[in-house]
Amino acid sequence: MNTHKKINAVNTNNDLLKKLAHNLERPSKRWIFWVIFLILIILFGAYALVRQIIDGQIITGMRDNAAWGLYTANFIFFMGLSYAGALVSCSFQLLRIQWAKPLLRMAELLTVASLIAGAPFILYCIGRLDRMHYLFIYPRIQSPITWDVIAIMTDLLFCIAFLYFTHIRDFARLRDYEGLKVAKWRMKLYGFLALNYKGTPLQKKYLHQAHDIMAAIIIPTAIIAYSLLSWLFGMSLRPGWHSTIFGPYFVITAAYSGVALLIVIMWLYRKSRKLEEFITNKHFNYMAFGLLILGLFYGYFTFSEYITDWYNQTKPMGYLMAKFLDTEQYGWLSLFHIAFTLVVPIIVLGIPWLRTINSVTFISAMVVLALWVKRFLIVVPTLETPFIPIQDIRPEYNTYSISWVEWALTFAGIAMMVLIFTVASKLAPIIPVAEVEDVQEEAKPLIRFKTQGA
Amino acid sequence: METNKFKYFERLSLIILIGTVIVASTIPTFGKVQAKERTRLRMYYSKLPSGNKQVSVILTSGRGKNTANVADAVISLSVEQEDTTLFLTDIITKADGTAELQIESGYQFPTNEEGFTSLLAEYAGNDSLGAASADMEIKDVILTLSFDIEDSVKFLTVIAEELDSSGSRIPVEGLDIKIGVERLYSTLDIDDIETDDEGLGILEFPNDLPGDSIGTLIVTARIDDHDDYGTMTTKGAIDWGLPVSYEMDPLPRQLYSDEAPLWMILGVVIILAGAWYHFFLSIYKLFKLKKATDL
Repeated sequence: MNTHKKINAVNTNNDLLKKLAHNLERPSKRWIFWVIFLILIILFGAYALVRQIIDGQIITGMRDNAAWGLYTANFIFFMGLSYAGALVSCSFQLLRIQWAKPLLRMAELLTVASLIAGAPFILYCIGRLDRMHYLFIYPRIQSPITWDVIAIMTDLLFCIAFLYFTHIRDFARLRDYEGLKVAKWRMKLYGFLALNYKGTPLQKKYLHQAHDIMAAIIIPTAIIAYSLLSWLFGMSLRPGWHSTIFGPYFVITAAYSGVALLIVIMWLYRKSRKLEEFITNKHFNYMAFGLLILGLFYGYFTFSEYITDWYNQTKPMGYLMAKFLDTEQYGWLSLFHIAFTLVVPIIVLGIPWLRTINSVTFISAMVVLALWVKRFLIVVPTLETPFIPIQDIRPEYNTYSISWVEWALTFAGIAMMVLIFTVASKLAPIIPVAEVEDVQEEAKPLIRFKTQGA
Repeated sequence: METNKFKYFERLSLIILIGTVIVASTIPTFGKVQAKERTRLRMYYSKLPSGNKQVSVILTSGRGKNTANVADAVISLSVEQEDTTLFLTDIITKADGTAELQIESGYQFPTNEEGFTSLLAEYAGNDSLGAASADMEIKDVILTLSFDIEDSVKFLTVIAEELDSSGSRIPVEGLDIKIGVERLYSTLDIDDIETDDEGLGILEFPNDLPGDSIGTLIVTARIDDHDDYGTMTTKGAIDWGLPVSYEMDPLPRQLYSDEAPLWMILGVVIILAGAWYHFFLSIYKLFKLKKATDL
């Protein structure tokens, strides 16, 4: 008898897949209207971009002093979400955290979707887009901009690869699941993307190895890439930017906003797809603890940043700090940021009887919003407070105000991110079926230490 | 049947009529004779620090918000001399509507008895733009700088003189002159002086201006857009500044260096090589996975 028996199906027990398959089948009218709505927002953003290219950046709020604005704030915000998603999903993968398996795909999608939606924002700031290829023709290794371009492109490719790796077993399951009512092309696509995966021990081993290698390389890549982004600010001498803690501060901020958004995404999928069985109280509880710890770290870094700036005796720094306290300038935004990143989250997440699924989700949504405001407060007030003011320009050019073009592109970015989630979770289950089923299975760790007596 | 045919021709005629009106309305000259647009020519004269003379013109068309610079227009420059006109040259306007002629310092324009030169710029116009001309009377002026120290106080003296038709120098009284020193990108204005009846303007020079490594300052005396003399600048060097050391910093800012330091190049190469090696290693594992279908 041939011992090398071929197996034709990955798993014959399709209970879990049965529960989730209906989400992948024929889209409902509501789903189609939702996708059309998102596409319309994106198209309006595209129209705004065309207007900006034709009319120039005069139709944005960016001027001589504040040459960066909402676009740059969005870029930092989306990149932060992406790096956080990468850190969370890869850490879960490497540490073999069993309870987090239902959340893996959401974290991975968060990484790729926010990277795709966020990366173009830096291009919108460029006055001469026709010269963008100079970055590649005449790169200067000593320029932080060059580091950032290389890091973001590398990170995007790695994250897409990792997202695909984590889908392979589910593609194989979908290929072999006869009860799935989808078009033939989709079945063919699942077959192609499954890479002939049949769950043999050798295939499992190779897949785990590929997973672990990518996870191990994405974590440092994400940390380096986001630190590089922070150094674009930290390496300048401007008040509020020239800071040695900006690298770790940015990384912690990214993790904080990413985990908060992941909680919101968990809540949305739990409600819309009826996934209470998979995304349970326990998940919200654990993630809330994670959010609380990150919030405390964030508080420590924020305090360190402001207290050192507060004691700085230079005049421009004084002007900048005064703007954060002045309610006619950035006072309300600063207060909102402090309240919803530090005070309220720590109270709600720290007191057990205040901690419910809805309250944790609401606080997470507010944390995401407040951290977006924080990115705006990093970029704009500093640019409005130069060491030597530009003379003889119109008074309105000294300050920044957001134009409709910038809002349109911002909402287009958000819509793009949501659209990627919407379409991706229609192609493959948002709960990683194979991962959840193999909850008892543990991959061999990459490094094994000999223990005494072993 | 005939009714249908009639309707068909009726509709066809209507479409042709509407089409003709639309096409015709897009032709700017349809139904009217196009009037030539008004143009305006302005002329400026300046004497450069090198002694060269420069005549500049700017040609614009339209009015108010519709004003536009006219490019590639031929402007004829000439000097009017009693009843005759001496043609100098043709110059062609650039994209911003300007054109310039530089004349070497040795060349002397013909002048009238009072020492004035009458410059004339003319644009002949074309099919769509009207003709335009500009004229101005200018006089050559000479500014001489001298630097003196009396009782440890530094004085800058500027002598302003003009030339009459015989070539003799006559002091210019009441001329406003701006004194400044050259900085990296522009001139730092120090003060304005006015010449007296001897053509002399005197300024007590400040002691606290940073110069180069040996304290040299480039001092400028400038007349701005004067009715008779145009714009003129004269320069002089004097070591009255504070010496400033511009020695290279022990650790120059890396962003401005011509080449990246070796440690940085090596660091980037090692990090990228390490990352991409692992990426391709994981892709290689997928290839192996695809083939490893046997139990």
